[in-house]
Amino acid sequence: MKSATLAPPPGSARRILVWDWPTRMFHWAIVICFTLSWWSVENHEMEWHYRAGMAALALLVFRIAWGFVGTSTARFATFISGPRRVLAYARTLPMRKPGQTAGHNPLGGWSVIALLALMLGQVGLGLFAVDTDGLESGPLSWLVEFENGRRAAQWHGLIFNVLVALIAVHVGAVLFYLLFKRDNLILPMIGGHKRVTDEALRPARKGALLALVVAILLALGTTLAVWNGLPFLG
Amino acid sequence: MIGKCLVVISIILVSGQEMAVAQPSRSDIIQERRQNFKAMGAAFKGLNDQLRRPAADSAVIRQQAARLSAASDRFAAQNWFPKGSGPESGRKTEASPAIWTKSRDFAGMRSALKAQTRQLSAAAATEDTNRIRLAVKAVGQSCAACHKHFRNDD
Repeated sequence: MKSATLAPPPGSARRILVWDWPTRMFHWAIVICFTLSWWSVENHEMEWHYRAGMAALALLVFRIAWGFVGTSTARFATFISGPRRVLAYARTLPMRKPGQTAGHNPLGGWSVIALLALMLGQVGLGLFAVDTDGLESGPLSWLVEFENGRRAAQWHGLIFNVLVALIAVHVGAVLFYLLFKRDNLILPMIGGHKRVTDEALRPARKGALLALVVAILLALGTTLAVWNGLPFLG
Repeated sequence: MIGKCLVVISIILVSGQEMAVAQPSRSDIIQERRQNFKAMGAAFKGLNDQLRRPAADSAVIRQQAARLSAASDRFAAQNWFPKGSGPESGRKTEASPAIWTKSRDFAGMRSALKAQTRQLSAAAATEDTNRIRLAVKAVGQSCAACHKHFRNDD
């Protein structure tokens, strides 16, 4: 009798963990880094631009590591899907009901990959970029010739535009889910939990503490070495 | 009235003549000054590169400082910004109109840069990294201050 009352009645809503705190922290911290990078370069605050770029590098290295050893919903293996699943999911988009997923859906997973890859590329180019005067330059610019540093800076400017476009698509998709599909994706990215009715959905399995420590150390170590300009390469 | 008209006409004629004088070599001059700025940028990067290394190569620093100083001398001496060689020439240039409206300030900044790059060369000869660092910083501030007034952003 008691066990029957404990089990949730079929079809009723329950709250499950979707995003663990490291993944949420990464998300909002990278939003801050992106905004700070943009603001600082527009206002010629290059010291802040470098700091924001280094913070973004640490966050991206951490997120990639967490994509291999972290919480189930953060793992690449969980959210990277083949074309068939992506197409099947895309067909359900016009349906006006929340998508029953806990974590990235097959389409959104690829959007995350694209965003991560572009941001990594953007930070990577920034490391080698040199301004037209040779005054301001990324920490690894000493490894490249002036002309190649200039090329890196030009690509840095181009990729920024692509990144802005992709972020617009990302925000647009979130709004589409909120307004059309009545599925609030924003709150779970803040609080971590989502209300679901599908009984088949399982809460995220949390990553191990050791994995978290290793991912953080890897991120900090990489960033520190890059910030110092990888002097051992000289 | 007639006097005023004559003044206006003569101004038009004179400025037209000036334009005509600047015309034949204008595109080459833009190319020439651009090359010089590029050389300055590359030299400045060369200095920063050495200061980033754990052990700076003093020979390279002296060489890049000399290159920067030579380019600054040319920049101060040459009439690289004749009237009509701004964006109105139809060429891609970031030259700001202030170059012509505040030509005296522009000349002053060019001389200041020349003096500062000489000091940098002197610092490079001492092989004192801290002195070099300060001199490089001073030159960089000189560049930035001038660009703020005399170069169009973007």
